[in-house]
Amino acid sequence: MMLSASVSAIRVSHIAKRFGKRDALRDITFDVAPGEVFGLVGPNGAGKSTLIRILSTLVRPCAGTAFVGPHSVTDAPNAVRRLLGVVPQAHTSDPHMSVEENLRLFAKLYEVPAAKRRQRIPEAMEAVGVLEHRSTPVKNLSGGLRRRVEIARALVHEPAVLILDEPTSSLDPVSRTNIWSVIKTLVRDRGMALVLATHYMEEAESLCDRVAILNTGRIVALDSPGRMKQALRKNDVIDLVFEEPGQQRDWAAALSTLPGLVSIAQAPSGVTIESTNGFRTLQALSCHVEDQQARIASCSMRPITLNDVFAHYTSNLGAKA
Amino acid sequence: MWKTLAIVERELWRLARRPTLIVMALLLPAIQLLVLGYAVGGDIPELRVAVVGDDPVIQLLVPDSAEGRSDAEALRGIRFQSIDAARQALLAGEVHGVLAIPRDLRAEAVRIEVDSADKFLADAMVDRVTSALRRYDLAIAPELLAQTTNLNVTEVFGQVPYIQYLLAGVVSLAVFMMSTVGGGITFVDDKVRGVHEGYLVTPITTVQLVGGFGIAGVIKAALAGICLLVIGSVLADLPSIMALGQFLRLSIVVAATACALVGLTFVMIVRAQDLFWPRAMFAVANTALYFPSGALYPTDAFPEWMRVLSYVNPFYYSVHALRAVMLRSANLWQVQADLGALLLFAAVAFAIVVFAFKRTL
Repeated sequence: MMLSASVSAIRVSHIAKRFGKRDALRDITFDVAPGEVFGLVGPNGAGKSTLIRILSTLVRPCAGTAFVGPHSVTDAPNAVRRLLGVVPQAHTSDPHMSVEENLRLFAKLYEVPAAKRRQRIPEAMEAVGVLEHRSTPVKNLSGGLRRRVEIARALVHEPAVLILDEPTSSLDPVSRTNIWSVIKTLVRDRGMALVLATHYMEEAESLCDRVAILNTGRIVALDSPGRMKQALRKNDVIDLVFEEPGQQRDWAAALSTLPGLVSIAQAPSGVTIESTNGFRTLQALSCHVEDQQARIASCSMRPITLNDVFAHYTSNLGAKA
Repeated sequence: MWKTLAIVERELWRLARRPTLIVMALLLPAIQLLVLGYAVGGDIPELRVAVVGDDPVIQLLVPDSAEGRSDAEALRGIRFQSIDAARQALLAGEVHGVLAIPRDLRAEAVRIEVDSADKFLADAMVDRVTSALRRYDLAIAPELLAQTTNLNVTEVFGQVPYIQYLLAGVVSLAVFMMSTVGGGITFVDDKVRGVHEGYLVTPITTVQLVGGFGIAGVIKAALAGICLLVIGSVLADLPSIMALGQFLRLSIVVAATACALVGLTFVMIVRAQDLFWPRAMFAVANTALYFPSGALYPTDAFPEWMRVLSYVNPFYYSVHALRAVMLRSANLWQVQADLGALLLFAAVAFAIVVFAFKRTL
């Protein structure tokens, strides 16, 4: 099912959602063009899944409008569902049914005629590389293969827009790379619009034409990964790794006085410091480490990545300049 | 329609792949049929009564008491010298009653003290002693026979042992068990695991989705009921229900029961978000609906308020109709009111489910 090039695949305008007293989404606006791969990135709780669920007609927004193709998610949800292929975060395939049976069930639910089912189901299995497992019950598949089944299931009706909610979360690096390869092939071969929610920056950088960074329910940045990095390229990034992990909070106050500091973000075993003048910041940092007789494993300066862009917009350890 | 059938197909495949669900749904009713059927409602072969009083009368009243047993009335007399000693035996549970026989039966009444802590035994004791007194009257004054109004009892449907009486109830229970185990709990389990999220993003309507789960639930529950009919015909020694006509009529009543009970189950779980709620509800519903339905004991013996409640209890109509077809060979016309009530209950229940079903998360 293809959309005409003149209609946005997705058009979201001033969407807001509250759960009780908590604002999950505030004033979200963006468009996705047909054939575009659009990334939604943000830390846990940023509102990615809520936004995905609004687009998938699973949650009603409190304010604003959202359209998939020409159809409103609130006024014509069934028309929207026909255009969408959705891969939710949870495993939603029936574990007791085989791969092919799951796909057949969903093809019927998406009203795919019997003749087309016979053609599309093997195609979808082939596209994601699970054809050889067609008769295997889903419960007997690995996490990565299950995820592929979910993607295949979302493809059987040839949707105009594919929505993937954290498709590689909890997968090992090899399975993750395999899923990326599947997604790249799908985008190249099928030309559908794709919305990808993720908190892996390398995933967004590798797959997406444009990325919206969400933080506490707002879009804090929206552009192509390249342009986002370009915008911050004038800054330097310093990675400070502690010998003993878990000291990030203790250091936050001391580091906040460093010269040229833009932001400080937590990293797995240290902090990532963004600075307008990396050499001055590094010099001051060395003095501070020496004064404190602190034990650090390494301290290095490097070019900016999308991870740093993400940290720049979502960091809550240090104030932005 | 095809989408509804796709859901039905999926649910039935799941049942076929997990036959333990059928076993679980049938186990409790089958055990109940066996245990209650054989434990309750059987004849008490021997009641022990302490007898105090005049020897010749005792011989007539409780014959063969010297040998310790009256075969005719299954009343075993045990002689005591004093009323106090007899009462001690009653308190100790050695006898079920104390029978005090005066010297002159024309001047004084026979007195019986019964173990009223056990109403069943006490009532049986009074019945048997009353029969013994009547026999005694006829023995000493046969001319009374001419003056006595006799009662000839005809058991129209033959002698029905309690296990056969119970069968209608346990078939309904099997239907309910499958509605809950194979329908309600599986539905909520899928919801908790996120499987439903997969359905909700497809263009299936609420009516189609509820219809799919409902039809699948009814088929599964009716299958469980029919399985128990077959098992029950053997356990309760009631082969007549396997005759084609009667079996078909019973299957129709079972299907109507399944419609009502699956509807009831889905009303209870349609908004449930975890498994705690349905498990608790099903246990309560089992007690609140099954026991007062007349499955174990006639509803005519219930207090007025309980009888009124039974009119909104689908189990009541199910048990009533199944028993009528099983034991009285009733035709469908004769149980039309029960079938109508079950189908009306199902229609109202499914209307509530469609209204309450959340198409969003």
